[in-house]
Amino acid sequence: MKISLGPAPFNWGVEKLRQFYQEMAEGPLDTIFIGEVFCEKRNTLTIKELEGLMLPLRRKGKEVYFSTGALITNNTQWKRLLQRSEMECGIEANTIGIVPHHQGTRKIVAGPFLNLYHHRSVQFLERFNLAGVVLPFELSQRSVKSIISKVKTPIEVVVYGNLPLGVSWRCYIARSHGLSVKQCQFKCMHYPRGIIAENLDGIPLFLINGPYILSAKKRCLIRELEQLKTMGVTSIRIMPQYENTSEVVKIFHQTMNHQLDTQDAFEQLSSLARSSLTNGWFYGEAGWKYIKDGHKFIEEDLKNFLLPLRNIC
Amino acid sequence: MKKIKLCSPAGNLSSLKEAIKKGADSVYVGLKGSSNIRNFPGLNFLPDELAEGISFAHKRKREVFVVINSYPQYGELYSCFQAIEDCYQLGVDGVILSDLGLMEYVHHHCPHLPIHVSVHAGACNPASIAFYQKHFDITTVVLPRVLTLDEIIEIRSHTTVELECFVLGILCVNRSGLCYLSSYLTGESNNTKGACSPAKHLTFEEHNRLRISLNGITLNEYGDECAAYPTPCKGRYRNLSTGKVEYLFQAPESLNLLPLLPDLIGAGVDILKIEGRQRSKTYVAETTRIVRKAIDAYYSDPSEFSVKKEWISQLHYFFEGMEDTYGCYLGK
Repeated sequence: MKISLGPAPFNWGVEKLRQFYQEMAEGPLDTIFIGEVFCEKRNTLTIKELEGLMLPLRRKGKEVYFSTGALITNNTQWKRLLQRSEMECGIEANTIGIVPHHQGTRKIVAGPFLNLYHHRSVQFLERFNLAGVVLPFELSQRSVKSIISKVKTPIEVVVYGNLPLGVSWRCYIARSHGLSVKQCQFKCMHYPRGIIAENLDGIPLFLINGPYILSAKKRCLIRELEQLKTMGVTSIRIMPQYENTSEVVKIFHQTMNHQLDTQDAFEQLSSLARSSLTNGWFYGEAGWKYIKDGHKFIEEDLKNFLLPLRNIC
Repeated sequence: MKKIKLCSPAGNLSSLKEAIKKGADSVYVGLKGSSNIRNFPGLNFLPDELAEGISFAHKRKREVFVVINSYPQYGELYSCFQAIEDCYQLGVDGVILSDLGLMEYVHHHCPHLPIHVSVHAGACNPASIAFYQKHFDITTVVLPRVLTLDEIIEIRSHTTVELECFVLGILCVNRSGLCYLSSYLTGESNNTKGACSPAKHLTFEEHNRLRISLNGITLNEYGDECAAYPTPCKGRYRNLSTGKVEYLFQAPESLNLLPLLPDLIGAGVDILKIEGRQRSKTYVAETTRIVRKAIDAYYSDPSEFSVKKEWISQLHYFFEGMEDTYGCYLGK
């Protein structure tokens, strides 16, 4: 399995990003996705700046993709996207309209926001010669397995990080300052890790980050690595963190290569995470839960693993 | 002058009939099961009820569209195909879909069954709409509630498909189809199981105040104020940077674009849609009646159109939180 790094979810500014990707160039990552997915207003990096971020990664032999926005709502944004998609790199499509645009001239990965929940949707998009598909975060292992068994395209699963739980036209950080998107003053720059939102019982549930909501807890599928490999997952994705991303990548890399025991890896990741970890969605449970005995769920699943009317599916 | 059409929700047969009697040009309904994003107990149609609804509507030259807008995971795919086949056999006027695989299925297996792109597909730019048009020959796009009026005008200038716009009802503040809050808290995905904040996961505890939890996680606490249906986006949370407890994502409020009716018509919107298949027959009847009145009033004399106070006060009776919002239609 390859290790990939998803697009940075926070507004870190170009200096931090430069530093960050230089550091990532030194690690064992295979593929790196760069781009602002959710906020078109803070999508301000020029092509020159983006290419500057990609350069050290390319020099170290990493494959680089440009991740498109998921909420492209006007022509100005669309034109900017088209200009950027001319860069010499692959494209992670998070809006369906861009998929056919560079067919045959660029590698296209279907991003997680295209909502490909089953094999038929993936098979439909395979006509565009996809280089990969990043599955939606909430898919269970049963669904992942079912898709992989029926498609040709390499499948990527997100294994670590705060997960996007919602994206809006509204900026939640600006709103918390009494501002609209138009007036936002890029307040998000002051929160490079997002803002924690607790419920009334003091449980940290969400991270507010501009127009989108992330889980406050981090997903961690380190214990499921072997299973993912057996299922045929081609690539595992780690989401960038403000701190410790290199360490997280290293832990996944070492565990995958049997240089680190899974339990040790889990403990190390727990201490780096600054939050408890989750894997619930992978077992068809609530996303915030952590299922310790995942293998029991899998046995139960196998008993119920009946695909109705195979001839139709 | 081509008149803007009105599409009303119906969670059951009596609502469908009421909507048509009160002036809807079409109704949209769901079949029982997880094929649509309003999969609540006691709601939606069995095939024979749908047949009766279609017959009732067609006799009056009105249309019936069926929402099959969930994103099925592997085991749910067949039930969605079955729902599509039922619709096709029963002669519905179109299906409202989000999922690429389902669109392809309809395109290949159900010729002449019009496809509408659901709000959950998030077709919010001309290139995405063109994609659906090219590959599935779609007729209509339900515009995601992430667009301003100016952006709708821009889309109109780039596409020939019918544009449908929500005018009244609950406003999902996150882009529909990309909101996993309820799934994260309950494990039942809105996208695949078809219900946001399912009632079976809700708990209401009343001491001095009403405390509402979803799957054991407290979402809100109410005193005397008006409560919305408890979804995670309308919960109250503490912002740890300011320490304030507030509606961080959305206050209980309802979309009301009636005052913008002339702008929506001017923008080239073809169909106005009322949200609320999960609401009562009275809600369907009253909202349909009022929007119909507003549309007719506009066309009888566009220059004199204004929203009547009585319409708004009557609508407020049904609104969540008693507050109106334009969402982002006038700016973000």
